[in-house]
Amino acid sequence: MRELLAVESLSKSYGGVRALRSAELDVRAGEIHALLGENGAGKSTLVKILAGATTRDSGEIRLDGVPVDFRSRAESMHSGISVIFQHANLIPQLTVAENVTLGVEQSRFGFLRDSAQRRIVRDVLARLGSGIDLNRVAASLRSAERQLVEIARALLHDSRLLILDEPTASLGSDEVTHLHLVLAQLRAAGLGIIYISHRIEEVLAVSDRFTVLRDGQTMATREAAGTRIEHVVSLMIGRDSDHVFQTTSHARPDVVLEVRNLSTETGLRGITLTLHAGEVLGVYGLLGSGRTELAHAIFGADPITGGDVHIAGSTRSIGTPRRAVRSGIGLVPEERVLHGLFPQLSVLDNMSSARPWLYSRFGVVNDGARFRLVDAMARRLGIKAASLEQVVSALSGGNQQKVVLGRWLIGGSRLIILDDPTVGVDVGAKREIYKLISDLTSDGTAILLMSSELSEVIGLSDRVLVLNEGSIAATFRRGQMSEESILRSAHGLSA
Amino acid sequence: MSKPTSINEKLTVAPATRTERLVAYRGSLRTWIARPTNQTFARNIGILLAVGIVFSLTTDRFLTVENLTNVLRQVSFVGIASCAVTLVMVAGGLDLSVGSVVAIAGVVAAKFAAEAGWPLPAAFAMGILAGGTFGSLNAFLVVGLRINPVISTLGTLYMGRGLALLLAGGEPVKGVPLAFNDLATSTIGPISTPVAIFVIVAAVLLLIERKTLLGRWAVASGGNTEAARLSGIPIDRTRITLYILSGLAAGIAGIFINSRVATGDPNSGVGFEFDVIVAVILGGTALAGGQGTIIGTVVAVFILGVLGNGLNLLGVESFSQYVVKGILLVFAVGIGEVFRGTRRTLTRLGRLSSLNSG
Repeated sequence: MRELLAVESLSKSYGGVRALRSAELDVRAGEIHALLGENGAGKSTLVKILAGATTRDSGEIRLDGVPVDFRSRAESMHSGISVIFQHANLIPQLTVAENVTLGVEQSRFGFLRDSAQRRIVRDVLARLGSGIDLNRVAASLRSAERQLVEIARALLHDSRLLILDEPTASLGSDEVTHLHLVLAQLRAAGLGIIYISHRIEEVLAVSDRFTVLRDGQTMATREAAGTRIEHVVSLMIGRDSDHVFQTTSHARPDVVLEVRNLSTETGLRGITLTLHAGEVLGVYGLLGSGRTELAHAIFGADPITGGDVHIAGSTRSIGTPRRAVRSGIGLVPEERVLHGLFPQLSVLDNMSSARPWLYSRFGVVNDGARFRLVDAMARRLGIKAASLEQVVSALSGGNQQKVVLGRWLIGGSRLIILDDPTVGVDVGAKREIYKLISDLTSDGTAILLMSSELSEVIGLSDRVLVLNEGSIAATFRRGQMSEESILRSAHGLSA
Repeated sequence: MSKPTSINEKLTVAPATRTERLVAYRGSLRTWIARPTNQTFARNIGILLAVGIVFSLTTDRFLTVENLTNVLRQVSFVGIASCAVTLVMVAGGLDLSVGSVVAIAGVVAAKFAAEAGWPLPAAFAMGILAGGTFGSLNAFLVVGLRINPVISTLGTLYMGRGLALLLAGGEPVKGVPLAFNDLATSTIGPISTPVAIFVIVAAVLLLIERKTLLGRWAVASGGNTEAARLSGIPIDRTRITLYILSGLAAGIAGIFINSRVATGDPNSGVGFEFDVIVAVILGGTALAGGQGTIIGTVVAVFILGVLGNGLNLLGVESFSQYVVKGILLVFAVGIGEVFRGTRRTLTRLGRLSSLNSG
């Protein structure tokens, strides 16, 4: 078969973080090629480079044997690469027909020739097995329909290579089957398809070959037929671990948090858990399994539709973030800059934002007291900033994370919810955060650790809950868990 | 191996059967009403009818040909400018400078007529052109320098007012030929000229909105700027064109407003920009862009015109009219937002429960 795309020794660094280290990938025309790897393995960086959304540091990319170097999305698109990103890129107010032809509208003297194009659009959609009404606005489409509209668009754009990033994350099983039929048809027509997904079993079933990335490097490219999931998983996670984790548990018998039968609009169903003082409770799950949603629900940030969340010694359910903060709960959110920081404000303002009652009386701020509190905590955490007046957005990811953490440590917390605390954080800061978790638990603080990194969850947690589609799929105790068993539960297989 | 475009050529689809066509027909009403602009349109037609009926019952003079033509004449100025501003806002922009452009256009036209002695048509053309120049200035600030449209056009609103006052020396231009007044009072056939021009401007902009690349690009640029960029839409060119069109339209409105008072008045059009924005928003255009129609704006212009006229006939003084119009805007637009929020929540809940049961 003809080679369509060849990626050779591709490297890319963001600041000090090496996202890709001599990654390799080859995709043939008329092939579905699965791209697998854990979060942070470099998949999305690779896709961004192919899409022209970012540029490489070194390495070579050839498309049909011709070396290419995309400096914009438009250049990549003109070379025949279509990307269907996880979050659909349609204009919500335009109709299906208008969205499919967006950017390739036929016109005469500036006047649209819609009727001529509508026929083509309807034919393409029919070919994709979809009878979507062309007059519906994109905002009213379900995610499966949106995806088909985007695929139709890719076909009108003369695509040679189609990249799908987590296309099934929000689809039902019938819709997944249909998508796979469509992909098989496109393969038969000679397109090369790169398929990225966390659902390993599903991907292997539809792909011809697969490539596994780990830490920015290509681990292997194999035939998909006859490959066992366990084999792929072991390629994905590897054996070596750079970090030494604490081994002793600081868990005490007294309960800090009790969650009973919690359900939310955001998709959580019947979550029950108990958290003890000094305990680290890890929560692992794939994208869309409800990890972040659980963090938000416990913190009172998302409305609860059923069940309740109690902090020890209180009969009232938490309900609002304000009450959560008042009861001594701290949240370190996944979207650090978006939800965790006031990017324009100083380190001082950021760290003192959670508990104003510690340094004010009758609403009047005692600036000296505030400075002393923050200064002491910044020193303890080793935050590297020019001064406490420095704007927080100027700090590195690791230091920003310490600022968010420090906010909850000033005045102490009974429970800290960490939602993927080490994403986008360099190795040194990672180690310090792990050390901090150990220090906190020995003081009796309970930690709820949501993480997308398996080694982290296993290394730090006294117990691990595995989420699958909004419910608890399995619970493991320290000593009983293995990466395989956790991953299997997260995929909805029996452990 | 052949290029994958051959997929399109290989497509063959059977023509729609009768049942399929029937289903499509039934579905079309649902898809029509699914557009927020159409919902607003239906609501506004309802409001217009309701207001019209109330005034026909409470006054004898409302439902007369003379009065209704009067309403049309009164709304035509705001209407001309509103239609163009609608497209600017759909594309994700804003134009607050139209009030000052009215004065600039009037003063420039009057100056050319009075002091340079130009024939009136040429003088009026210069007035409109001055409006277009202001539109280009807005485009330069917003698109070229990437200054926020609120700040840019608020700035040009002030600059324009000051320039008009400087040009005219702080008072209406003197020595303007009497015929300067003819433009606003003349008729084309049975229709007064401002009304006819309003109809023409609205029709041209409607055509642009519905049938041209420019209209499609406007929605795309305002609806999802990132997706539009990734689709190769010339966002900057679209916005520049629309700002210039908006300046030209405000210029046209300006020469009519000033022709009506038979001179170039540097204080004309004060507060005009707010009448325009209120009409555009009441007509269903989203402040955030991507959504809005010319036809919606036209209906909203009529609602505001009929309301003002009817309240005048009832003897309600203008101070109270401001209060009424303010309430209408907040109520009509705000209620829509509340309903939209509720329905979104309901659909999400419905989808969730079907997911859970399925």
